[in-house]
Amino acid sequence: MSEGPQYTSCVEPADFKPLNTALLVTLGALIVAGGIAAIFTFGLGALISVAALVQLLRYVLDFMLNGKLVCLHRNNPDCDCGDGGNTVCAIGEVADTEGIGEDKNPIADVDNDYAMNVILAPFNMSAFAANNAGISMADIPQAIKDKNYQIAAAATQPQGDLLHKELPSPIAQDGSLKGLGYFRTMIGTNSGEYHAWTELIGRDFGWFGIGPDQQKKWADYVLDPKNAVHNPGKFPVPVLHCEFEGTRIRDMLNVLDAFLFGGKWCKKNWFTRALCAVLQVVFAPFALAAVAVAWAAAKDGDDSDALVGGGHVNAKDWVVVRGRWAYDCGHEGWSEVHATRIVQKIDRFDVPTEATAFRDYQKRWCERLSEVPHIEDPGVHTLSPEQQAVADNQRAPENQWVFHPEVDGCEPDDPRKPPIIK
Amino acid sequence: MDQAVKLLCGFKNRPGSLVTLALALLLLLFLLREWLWGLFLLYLAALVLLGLIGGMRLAQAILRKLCWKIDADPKGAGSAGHPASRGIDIPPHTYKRPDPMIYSQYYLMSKGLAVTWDNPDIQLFDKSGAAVPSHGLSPLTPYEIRARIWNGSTDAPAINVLVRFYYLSFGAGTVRQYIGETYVDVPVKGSPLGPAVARMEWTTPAAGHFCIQAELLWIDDANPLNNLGQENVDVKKLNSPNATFTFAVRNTSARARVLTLRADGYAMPAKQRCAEVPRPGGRGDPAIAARDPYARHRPASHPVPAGWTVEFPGELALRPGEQRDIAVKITAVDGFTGTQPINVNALDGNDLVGGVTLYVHD
Repeated sequence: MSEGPQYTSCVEPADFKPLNTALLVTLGALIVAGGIAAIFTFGLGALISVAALVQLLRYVLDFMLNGKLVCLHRNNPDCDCGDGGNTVCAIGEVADTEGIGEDKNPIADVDNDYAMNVILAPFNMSAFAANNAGISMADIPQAIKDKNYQIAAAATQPQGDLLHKELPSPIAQDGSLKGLGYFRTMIGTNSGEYHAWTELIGRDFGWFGIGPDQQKKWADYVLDPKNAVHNPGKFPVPVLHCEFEGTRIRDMLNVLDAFLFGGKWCKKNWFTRALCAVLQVVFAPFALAAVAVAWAAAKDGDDSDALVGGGHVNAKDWVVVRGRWAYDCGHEGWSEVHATRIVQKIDRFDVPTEATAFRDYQKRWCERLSEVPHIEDPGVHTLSPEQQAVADNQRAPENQWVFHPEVDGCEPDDPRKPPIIK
Repeated sequence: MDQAVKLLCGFKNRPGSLVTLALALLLLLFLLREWLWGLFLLYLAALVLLGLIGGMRLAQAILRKLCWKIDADPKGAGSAGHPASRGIDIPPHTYKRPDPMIYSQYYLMSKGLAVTWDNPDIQLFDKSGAAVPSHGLSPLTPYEIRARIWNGSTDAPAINVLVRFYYLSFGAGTVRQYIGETYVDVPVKGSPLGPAVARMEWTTPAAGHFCIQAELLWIDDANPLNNLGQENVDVKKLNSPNATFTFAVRNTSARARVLTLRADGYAMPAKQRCAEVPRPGGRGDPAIAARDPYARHRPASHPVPAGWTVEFPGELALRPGEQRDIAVKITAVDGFTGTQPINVNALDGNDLVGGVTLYVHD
């Protein structure tokens, strides 16, 4: 029994602290100043530059790992997936997927997470498609996004609360942090067919970042007679962004801490602090080299080297996911599942489309998923009573069968008989 | 290379040698003290060079990213300008598959085990809720079929597993008729709520002797081969001391086949006490590890009982879709008391086509 890795931690909204701009500017200035000084000091200033760069890296990485995610707690009577609502279960259709490094700014690119975007069930795609931006290549207006957000997050939607886009109180709007929600662009036709934009018009940018002309690809699509007759248009759909964590940030931060003498000893008194500061400067180049090695060696969890038992998820697949619900304050702000720790594929035709029936279906998924004892850290992560009961049963000798309980099962001394139907 | 590693390993175990080397290094630095300043400059020059290379590489990567993002929607704002969605590979620690399963003769026999067609997971009940043997059904009478559904997975439940029920004419490989379907929730192995029980109302046809099939359908099954279970039983009293059964054998294939019929006396043995079961991989007697843990269920352990005879055609050549009735005459040893199962299985090579379990009693 296992579940996907989770290296990040989240902070409660009251404890959230955005990146300190003054510190970033100071470290940036030191990098530049050290570089300039290096010219006049036979390279000696480079040590200052490198040391400042390493400290900047450490600060940003620590924010990405332990600071940018704000814990959210779901309060939904239909679905309690554990951890006081911080662990959630969600059901829906995969709109599209994001590979490693995709869709991140150059700084966030250090993160080797990958993701899928889930349209939460039940949904009516034609209701979203009614609010479309036609075939225009211009950005989709915020007003259209807002309309579709209202549809997806309406109180009548059984999972609408998971799309929560407002900044968690008391976090205020700050710079790019606006709480706009997470949207993906879809292409729909009047025949009811729909596809993710990235399925049809996704760009391959190549090494030099040029890639094919996206406008041409879109024009080719809309002018193709077999599509044109169905009046295609593009529209935004609010999705639940589900991230899978890679090891890179954690690995790099570990290396930095090891090389930079970040232990308790350094904070013992003024002398140890000063000594560590000197050592940090001296060893900064080595730390940077080690970070580069950790960056390159990080495992991103991609199983393309054929790990037995893994799976492939594509757009249009239907899934159930379980993971931590968090608000990502490292971008414009949206709620997401981070890390996604369990994924199961389901059949879309098994999922009720009517809200009441869906609530019951969702409740059953949540209950059954919540009783699974994913033991990773015994003694640290405590099991719920239901998980403990299942874990005890799974360890029992009568449950060690492989083919069938009647074939290679055994009779316990104190049997809990399965329902006898024969 | 190996020699060098061995030499280094030797030093590892001799701290004195390491101290000597350190002293030698200090001595070398002392002797080269005139050059220390130059060495330091060399170090700094190397740093600057590496910094320039690394910086350029970083700048290139950032520019590449900026170039393609300049016309793209910001993260979360839409998908325009974003790379194509190619799907993601999810490792097994995150990606889970349930294994809804039933006692499946076809699967078990493919694993080299003997099977009974008296399925422990399928049972019929009458309107009063009393269990009814499948060979003793009345025509045009409503019954409830119950199928027990297990989960072989310890970490993936399955909600709304589709269970389809069919009835077939008594025999091997006969054509199945749809009864109905229902959904069940199958919790993980070890859940107090498992196994699940699927229920289906069924009114028997006007005449005939029938088998029941239950089939589980799940889109992403860890083992889809153990999803089809069948109940196929007939019972007769021995008559001085013979009993003759007749059942149909059909070739459902699109090609002509020669089916081989085999008989055995397998009945599911009582479960062993857990304390008595030697588990593979357990410590202790190596003989335990070498022992076949499924010996009790191997066909070789369950021949037709000594002194009994089972007469039937050993082979049947059937055209595509052809069905033929065959008679099986079972002769018990004199003075037999009790009940004895005889399983007759039809195989195409090693593939099980179907079978029946015939019970005879005194």
